[in-house]
Amino acid sequence: MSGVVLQVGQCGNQIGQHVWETVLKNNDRNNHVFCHFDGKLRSVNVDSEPKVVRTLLKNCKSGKFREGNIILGKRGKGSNWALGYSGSIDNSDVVIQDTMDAHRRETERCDSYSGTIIIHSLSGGTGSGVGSRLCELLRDEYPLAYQLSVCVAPHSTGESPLQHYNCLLCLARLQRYADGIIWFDNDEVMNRLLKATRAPPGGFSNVTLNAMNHHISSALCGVLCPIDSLTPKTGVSLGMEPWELIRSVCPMPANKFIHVNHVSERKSSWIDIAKNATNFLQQRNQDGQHYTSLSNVIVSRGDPTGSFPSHINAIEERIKKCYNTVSWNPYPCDFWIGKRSLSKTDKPSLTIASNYSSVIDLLQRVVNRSQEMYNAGAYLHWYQKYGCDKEYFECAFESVNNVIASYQESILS
Amino acid sequence: MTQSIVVQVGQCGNQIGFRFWDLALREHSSLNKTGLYDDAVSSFFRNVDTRYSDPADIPVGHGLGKIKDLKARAVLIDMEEGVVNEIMKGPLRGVFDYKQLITDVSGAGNNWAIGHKMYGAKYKEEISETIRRAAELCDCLQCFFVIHSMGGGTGSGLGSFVLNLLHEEYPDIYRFVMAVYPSHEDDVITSPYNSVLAMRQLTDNADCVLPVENQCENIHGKTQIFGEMQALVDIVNKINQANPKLAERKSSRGHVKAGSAISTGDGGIVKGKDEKPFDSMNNIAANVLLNMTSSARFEGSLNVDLNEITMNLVPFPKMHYLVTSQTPLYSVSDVHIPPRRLDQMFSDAFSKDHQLIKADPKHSLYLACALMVRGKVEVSDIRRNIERLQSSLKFIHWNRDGWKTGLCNVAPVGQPYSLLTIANNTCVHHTFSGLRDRFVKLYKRKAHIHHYTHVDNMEIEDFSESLESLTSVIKEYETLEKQINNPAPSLPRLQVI
Repeated sequence: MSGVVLQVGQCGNQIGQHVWETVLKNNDRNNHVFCHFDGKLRSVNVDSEPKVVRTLLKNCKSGKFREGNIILGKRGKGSNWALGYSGSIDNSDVVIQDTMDAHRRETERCDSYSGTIIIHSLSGGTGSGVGSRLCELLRDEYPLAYQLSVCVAPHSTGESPLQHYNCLLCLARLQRYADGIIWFDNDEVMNRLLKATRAPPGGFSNVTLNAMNHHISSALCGVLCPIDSLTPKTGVSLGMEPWELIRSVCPMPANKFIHVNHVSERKSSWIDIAKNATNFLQQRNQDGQHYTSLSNVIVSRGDPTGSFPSHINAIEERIKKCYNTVSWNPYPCDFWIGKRSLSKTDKPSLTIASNYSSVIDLLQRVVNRSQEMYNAGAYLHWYQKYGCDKEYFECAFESVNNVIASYQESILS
Repeated sequence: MTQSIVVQVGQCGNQIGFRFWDLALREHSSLNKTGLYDDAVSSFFRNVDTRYSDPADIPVGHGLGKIKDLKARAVLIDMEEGVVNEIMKGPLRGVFDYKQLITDVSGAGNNWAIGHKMYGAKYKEEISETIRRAAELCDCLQCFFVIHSMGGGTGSGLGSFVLNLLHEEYPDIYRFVMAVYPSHEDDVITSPYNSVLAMRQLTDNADCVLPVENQCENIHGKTQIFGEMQALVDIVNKINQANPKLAERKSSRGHVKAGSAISTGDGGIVKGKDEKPFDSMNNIAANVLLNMTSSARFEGSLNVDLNEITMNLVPFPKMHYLVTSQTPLYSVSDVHIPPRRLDQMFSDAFSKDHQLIKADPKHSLYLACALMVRGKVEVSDIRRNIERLQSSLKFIHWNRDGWKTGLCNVAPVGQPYSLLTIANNTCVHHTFSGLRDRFVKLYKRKAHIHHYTHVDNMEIEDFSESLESLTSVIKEYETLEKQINNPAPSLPRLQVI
């Protein structure tokens, strides 16, 4: 009812596909949060080449997607942020304009439009370039609406040589125009899934891209689906969860990065699930220093017997210790309770969304690698060809360095 | 979906092109069982209604129309009629539109000046018109593939002229060039001149060049002439050694699955006994083109479009010479393929035996590398192999993780998975230096120059300018290679004045 989901690029659309599959499985009266009353999803899908979205339409019930909300380009953006951001040289690219139109129509269908959720990757051309452009345009159009960006950072050992530049330029824009940024790291997700699967004898354990996408989308659903504690007494959810999340977890404008940790297990007590969640968490950085978290939201779902509230104190202690919450925040943990579980089999799940300082590692790595390439002058001619000259890079370096500095400051105090 | 146009120039270009179309048809026929004209087929073929004298083009629409008749999106250019006539008499004649052929009678006499200046001026209008017609029939044209040799007259001369033309008339469309370089004992004496003169055009006008070398010396061969590194002939020898019966066209009882070798045209339209001697090598080059475009045509978890290849692998505008290698060469018919085979495929791709030019990339510096994987391979497998190979390969310090990975779900014909590596590696400068040395040897004596300067518009300065351009490219690669052992320079510290 209150939000529109915008999926940009191959990564965004693949994750979006899994999110909608999960949402559509729970056919209950809160479906209006994600679906309009004529049954179509409040989703806008953008990609600059047609193959991925066609697969999405084949796999998901295609009747659920509105025709006018699918915007496809033809040629792709060539993993170039500048090409995605500025469109093609001869301005024949109407992808961005069409997306803004489709989005506007979608907001007009909302009862009380509060904001947009954008799902995209940081390293591709469409995801990062078109994504950051849309973020900027949406901020212009709707200055009071929330913007929650869900971004996926690439593997550190390289998915593409241009990924560092693309991440840098995109992160700088997101910092400026988005209200909250949920980030996932491909390395972290893959390691987690590798640990969870056992290797077949004589071989290596395999993690498919599908499994990674599924994990990310479960974590997202854990945070974004309707919650009982936020539903007013009439029992009809307003879909305010994403915006409440931003309000709770982002206390300061300079610190907007939200890390999500999701565990879902059958037949375990709540304490055990919490233990598992904190086990997967990386608690120390390379120098051995403990990361800190500024503020947390803990969402529990799948609790038909209502046993969760009795465990809140124990779990809070555990979170405070493992996440190393900051001393100046008197109430670092906010608990949300949802009676219904995400999966059909009533598996209980725990999702912890935290403003965690491990994002410093990601940002520092992006800055270092881009700085090296920038100093050597590599690949710059491709960016300059599409209108992105040195100034953009200098500004981007400054922005991201500022973010790192402010996170480091907030940890110390 | 985007379309590509293949322009094949000269004898070598047309022969490789012919193999390419045969293999493309084989691939599509094995995948497209229902005969529907969908986007994948439309990237290289047009669906036409041949009831009209000018075959009417049938667009893709919603991808559910049946294939009536396929015409290749190709332009065939040759200044002597032999090769093109053979193609048009052969079994693939229906695939080529007779209006897409440009031929002359006398040939270019292995002379770049005749190919470029004389025939260029003569046929400029016709070539431009033909290409324009092919481009208009495309819904969304993304790139041109130009295939030609560097040693001959038509291929190098007229081929580089066509490249110029494409750059002028279609500046936004990417130009990929597959150039076949001559090697030491090439039988054409003036091949160094032709190659260097054409190189300059490639450096200025192409977006991406994939050099290929035909002949080479034999390391473990019976006739050992000079001991050096391997290229296409040896790749073919390797495949034949693994299964000698394959070479004799009998059904193989060996371990190699019939029809899986990348040098074979089995299953294509051209039957066994009609295969010509260079066909095995041409098949390898054609397979490279197919695998490179596979991610753009078929769906996959990690798509890599053609413009992404140029953007990711070319860090500086002039350094766009990419070394390719393809694995596996053949697939074993043993059903229980352990996962070691997959890792072996990745390791093989970086050995010097599998590169398509005489080069040893492992000992030189990598600027960037793209891995185009097809078939049943998972993301974690790719990650694991990259981490494993990272230590043995030297990447330039500012691009330490310069890998681009692409994953296409559709496997190639006859194999469960395959890997094509496209790398921007400084080892190409060795090939170019050899070329430059042979050029200088002839040029010092001004041998054969008069054949070139006799042609209108050809000046002696063209020679010196081309030599300069080649030298500067070599120098750029050498400068980068000097950084092979450099760690990343540390940021300068502020000094107290």
